[in-house]
Amino acid sequence: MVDVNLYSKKKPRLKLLTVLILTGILVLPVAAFRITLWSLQMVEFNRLQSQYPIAAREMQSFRSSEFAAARQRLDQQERNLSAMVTRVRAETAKVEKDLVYAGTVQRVFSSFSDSFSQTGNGEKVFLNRMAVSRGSTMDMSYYDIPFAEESTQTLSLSFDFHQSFMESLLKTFPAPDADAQEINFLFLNALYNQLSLDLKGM
Amino acid sequence: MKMLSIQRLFGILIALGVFVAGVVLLDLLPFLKFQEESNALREAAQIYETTYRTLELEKTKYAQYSALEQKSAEEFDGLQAIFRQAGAPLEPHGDSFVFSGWVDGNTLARVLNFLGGCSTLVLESFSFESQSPLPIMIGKAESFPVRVDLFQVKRVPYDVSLVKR
Repeated sequence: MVDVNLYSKKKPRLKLLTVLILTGILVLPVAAFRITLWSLQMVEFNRLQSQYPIAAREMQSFRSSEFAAARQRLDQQERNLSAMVTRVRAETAKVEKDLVYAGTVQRVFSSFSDSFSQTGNGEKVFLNRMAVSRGSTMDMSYYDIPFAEESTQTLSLSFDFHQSFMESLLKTFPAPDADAQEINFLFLNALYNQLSLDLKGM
Repeated sequence: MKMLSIQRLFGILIALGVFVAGVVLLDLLPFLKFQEESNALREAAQIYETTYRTLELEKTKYAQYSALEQKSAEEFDGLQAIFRQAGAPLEPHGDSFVFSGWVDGNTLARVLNFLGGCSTLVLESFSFESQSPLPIMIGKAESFPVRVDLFQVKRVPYDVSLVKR
């Protein structure tokens, strides 16, 4: 057996077609993966939209490849929503605080009216002074004077209005600052009460 | 012959290098970036939805006070009517009004009674003191002037626009 090289005089040449075929073989898997990646992005984007339907409203205007832009939009809108949450919470707290205060003051006035309407003709109430200042105090002073009943002509010595009013107040203010003094002068029997209610923090 | 082998090896190495660089630049890095952006978008969407639901809850809570809008307007008008009837018209300033001046004792008694039934009017300030030799008798039929130093009332504010969807 003789080893004969039939192409000994042939120059080795790199053919263009070979280069193209080789390049194609190398680029093909890269390109294939790239296409797979695009479809992956699309699937993931759609999945996120179906998983988060509320957020999807903000993501709708973006293409499936615009993840970063969609996230930026969501972040921005989330900041707006957070600011809105803070505002609504503050307004709710403000309304609740106002209502608590309004209810407290209302109970004082309604206690005063109710106690007065419960007393009979034999008792008169004279309001001397009132000073209400939100966040500070509610001061008032009044005279409670029992008069003789017209029918019996007997003098009542009990201060029903005062007692009823103070009992009613105790439900709202556990420790009202009251200074009640009885005044006895000739045939007059009266009670003078100076009352101070704490409205701090309201 | 040996030279040809080295050239072939060199060529294969270059081709492999180009291939690896292509994979890294065109596939691996974009894939890692995609994963990172996908996770970030998922996280942003979760936070957005949580905040959105929190806002809905807060709005629902605030909307429970929607009846205030009507009630406080009625009470506000009722109080104004008492002063108007007494010839002491009040000038409202937005959601509040301030009064300072003379009113008769009956008007004052009506105001006190009215405030006893109001639950949506906020009494910021109210001060008066009997100027007459005798204090003000509650329920007395005769009229007598009373100097009200300051009477400041405001409505409980309710912003309808906050609960609009």
